[in-house]
Amino acid sequence: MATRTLATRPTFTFRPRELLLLLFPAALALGSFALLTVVLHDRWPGAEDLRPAFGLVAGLVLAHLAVSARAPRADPYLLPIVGCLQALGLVMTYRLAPALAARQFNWLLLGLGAFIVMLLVLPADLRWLRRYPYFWAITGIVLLVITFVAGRAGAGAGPNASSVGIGPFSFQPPELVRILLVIFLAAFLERWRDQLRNPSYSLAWGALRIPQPQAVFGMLALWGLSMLFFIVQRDLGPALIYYGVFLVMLYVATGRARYALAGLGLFAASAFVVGRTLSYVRTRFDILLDPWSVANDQGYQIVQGLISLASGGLLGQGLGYGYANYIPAVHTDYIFNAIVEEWGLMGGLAVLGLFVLFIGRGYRVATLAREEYGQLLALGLTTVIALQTLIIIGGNLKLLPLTGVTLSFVSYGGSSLLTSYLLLALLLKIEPRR
Amino acid sequence: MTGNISRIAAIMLMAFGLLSLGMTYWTVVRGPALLDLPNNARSVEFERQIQRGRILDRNGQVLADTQMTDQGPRRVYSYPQLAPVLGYFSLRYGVGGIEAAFNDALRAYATSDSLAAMRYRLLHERPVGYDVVLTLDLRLQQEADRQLGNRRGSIILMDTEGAILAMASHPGYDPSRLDETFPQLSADPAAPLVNRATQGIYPPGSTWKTETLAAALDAGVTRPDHVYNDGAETLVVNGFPIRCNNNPPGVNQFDLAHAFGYSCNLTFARLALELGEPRYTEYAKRFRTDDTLPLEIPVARSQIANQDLTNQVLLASTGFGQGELQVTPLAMVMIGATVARDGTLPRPHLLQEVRTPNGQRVQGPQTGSLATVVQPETARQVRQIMEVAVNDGYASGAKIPGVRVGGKTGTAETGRGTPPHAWFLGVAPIDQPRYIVVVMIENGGEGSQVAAPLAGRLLAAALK
Repeated sequence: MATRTLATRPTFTFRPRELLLLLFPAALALGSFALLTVVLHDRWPGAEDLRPAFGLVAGLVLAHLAVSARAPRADPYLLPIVGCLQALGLVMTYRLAPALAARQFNWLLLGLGAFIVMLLVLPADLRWLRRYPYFWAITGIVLLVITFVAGRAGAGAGPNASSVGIGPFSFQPPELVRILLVIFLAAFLERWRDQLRNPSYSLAWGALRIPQPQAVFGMLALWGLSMLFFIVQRDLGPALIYYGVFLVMLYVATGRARYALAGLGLFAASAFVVGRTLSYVRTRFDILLDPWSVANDQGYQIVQGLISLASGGLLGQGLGYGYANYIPAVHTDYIFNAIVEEWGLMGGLAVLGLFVLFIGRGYRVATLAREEYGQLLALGLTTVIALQTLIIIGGNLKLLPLTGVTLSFVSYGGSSLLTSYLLLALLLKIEPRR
Repeated sequence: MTGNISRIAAIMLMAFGLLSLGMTYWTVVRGPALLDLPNNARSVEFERQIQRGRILDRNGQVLADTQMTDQGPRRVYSYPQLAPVLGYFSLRYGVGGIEAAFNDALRAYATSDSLAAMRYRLLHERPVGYDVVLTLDLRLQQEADRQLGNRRGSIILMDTEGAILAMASHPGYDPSRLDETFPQLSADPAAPLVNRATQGIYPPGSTWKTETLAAALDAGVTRPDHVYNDGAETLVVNGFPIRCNNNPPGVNQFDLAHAFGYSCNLTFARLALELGEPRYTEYAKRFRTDDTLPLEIPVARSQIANQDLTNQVLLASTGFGQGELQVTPLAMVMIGATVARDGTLPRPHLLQEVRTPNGQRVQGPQTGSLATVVQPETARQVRQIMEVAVNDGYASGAKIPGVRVGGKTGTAETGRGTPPHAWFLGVAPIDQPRYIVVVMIENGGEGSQVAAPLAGRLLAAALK
C-alpha cells in the first residue's frame, strides 16, 4: 500500500488561478487592518498593526503551496473564498474583541498548519476513510459523551456548554463530530444505498416493503442521537445540522425524496413535542416570536442584533465606527450583524455571496468526484458548511431561533476554526474525475 | 446522483436568497423604525460624538460650552444662574430652555441636515455645533441676579425692540449636575426648573393699571388732565363696594395721572366699567395679555378671566388688577414695551443670531411688531403718567438721578393669608425710551418697598 501511495503521489503543479485569487483576501486583510489602525488608534499603520494580515497572507500562500504539491487538481476557488471570509473574520475579531484577538490569531495559524499537515500527510486516495466507518461513528459518539459529561460538569458552564477543557485550551467536540458524521454517513450510505433505494424486506405479508433492519436501525439511531443532543444540550442548532446533513446525504444517495420528507416530518414532529414539553424551549420560541416586549430582558440580544443591522443600513457605518458591542456575545454569536453594521447590507450580501460561492464550488467538487464515496463525502462536508451558515445567520436575522452555531471561518472560536480547516482539507483532497 | 446534488444546491441557494431578503428587510425596510427604538443606544453614542455649539451673550461672552472628554461631552455653564433660561443638556434627561429651543442648531443639524449627516457618515467628521448668540447681556444679567438675591421671583429687562437683555428667575439650579439632581429638582415645591419669568403666572396687582390706563386713554374714555374726586368715595357695583384704598390721607381730588400714581382702585374700576366688557377684552387681546406670547423658550398662557368679563364686579376688579387675572412677568414687560414704543407690541426675543463655528450667520433674530395696540399719542401719554407715578406717587423707589423714569408698582393680593406678591413695571428714559423692566417677587410684600428699588438699580446699570 505504501508503494502505491508513493506511486500515485502527485507532482507539484503551478496553480496560477488560485494564487492570483489569493490577492483578494490579501488586499482585504491588509486594507482592513490598515484602516482599522487609522480609525481606532488614529495613527499610520505600522508593521505590528499589520502582523495579523501578513500572518494570514503567509499562511494562505503556504496552504496554496501545499495544495499545489498534493492536490493539484483540486478546486482553485475554495481556498481564496475561505481566505476572504477568514480575513473578514480576523479583522472583526480584532475590532470587536481585541483582548481575544491574539488567541484567535494563534488558532488561525494552528488551523492553517493543520490544513497543510493534512494535505501533506494524508494519502491521495480516501480508502483509509471509508474502510472502517464504524470507527469514526464510535469516535464521534465517544466525543459526544465526553462533551455531555465534562461539559456539563464544568464549573460555571451554561446550559449550552459544549466545550471540553484541556489545559489552557478548550475544545468543542461537537464541531469535529460533524465531520466524523459525514465520513461515517458517506460510507454507510454507499454500503446500503441499493437496499435503501429498492427496499426488499417485506412486512405485513408483502403489503409494506422496508429496507433491511440494519439500515433502518442506523437511520433511527441518527434521529435519536440528534434528539438526544437537542434535549441534553438544549441547543437545536447542532442537532439540526446532524440531522439535516443526514437527510441531504440520504436523499442524494437514494434519490428518494420521500425518505427525506419522512425524516423531516419525524424531526419536526419530535422537535415540536419536545418544544411543547420543555419550558425553556417554549420560552425561547416565545421570545423569538416577540422579542420586543422583553427587549430589555430575554429579548435583549435579539433586539440589539436587529438594531445593529438597521444601524448598518445600505452601506454600513464604516469599519471601526459601529457599536455592535452592544450585542452580548457579538464575536461568537452575532459576528454577522457586526459585519452588516460596519459594512452595510452590501457587506452582508458579500458574505452571503462568498458562502454561496463556497457551497457552489463544494457541490461541484461532489459532482466531479471520482468515486461515489468521494461524491457523498464532498456533498456532506459542503452541506455542513451550508446548514451551519443558514442556521446561524437565520438566527441572527430572527428567522430561526438563535443557536450556539458558529459562522465558519468568521466567528471567534478556536475549535470551529480548526475543524473548518480540517473540513476544507478533506474537501480539497477529494479527487475529481480525469 | 449528480442531478440530486443540483437539486440540493438549488434548495440551498433559495435558502440563501431568503436570508438576503431577511437582511434587506431589517437593514433597509424596517431600519429607520428600529433605529428609533428606545433600546437603541446608538443615538446616545451619536450625541456623544457631537461637539455641541456654544451659547454666547450679545457681547460674545461664553455662557455654555462643550468640552470633549474621554467620558464623552461635558457641558460647561460659566454662569449657572442662567439655568432657568438656558435650560440644560443631559444625555439622560434631554434638553430644556434655550438648549432645547436651538437643539438642532447646537447639534449642527446633525440628524436633520442630510449633508452634515452624510459628511459624518462617510467622512466621520465630528459634527461641530453652531453657536447661538443671545440678546442677553451678561453684565446686566449679573446685576439682575444680584438684585433678586435669595428672593423667590423673577426680573426681566427688555429693550424697545423686544430684545431681552436680562432674565432672572430664582431659585435656580446647577445645570452641570442635572444628571444627579434632576429627580429632586423636579419634585422640589420651590420649582427651580421653572423659568418664573415666562412660565410663572400670578395676579399682577396694580401694575395692571397700566393696561387699563392705556386702553381707557386710547378709547377716549378719559384724558390725562381729567380730575377725579374719588379719594373718599365708595363705588358699589352689584353690592360690591370699591374704594380708592391707596391715596394719601386727605388727598381726595386728583387728576388721572395722580390717580395712577396713588394707585386708586376706584378710578380704575370706573375706567374699566366705562370701557365696557367688549372693548376691555379687545384691548387685552391686542396686548396679548389673554394669550400666549411667542418666544424661543416655553411661555405660559396669561388670562384676564377664567371665562369672560361680562360680570360687572369682575370687570371692575380686573380694572385695578385683581379679579381673575393670571399673567406672566413676560406679559407685563410687554405692556411696558408697548407704551415705551409707539404703541406697537414688539416681538419678544432672546436670539440675536445663530452662526457657524467660523462665524457665518445662518439665522437672525425674529423682530418687528406683533400688533398695533394703541395710538402713538396714547403711548406717549401713558409714559408721562408713569413718570408722574415715580416722581409724585408710590413708584418713587425707582428714581434714578438724572434720568426720567416711569413706573408702576403692584402689590397683588394672594388671598390665602400669605404676603402679597410685590411687582414693579418700569420704563426709562421717558423722553427717549430704551429699557423696560419688570420685577416680580413672590410673597415679597409691598411693591413700592420691595420691587421698585431693584428695578431702579437695574435700569441705572443698563443706562450706564
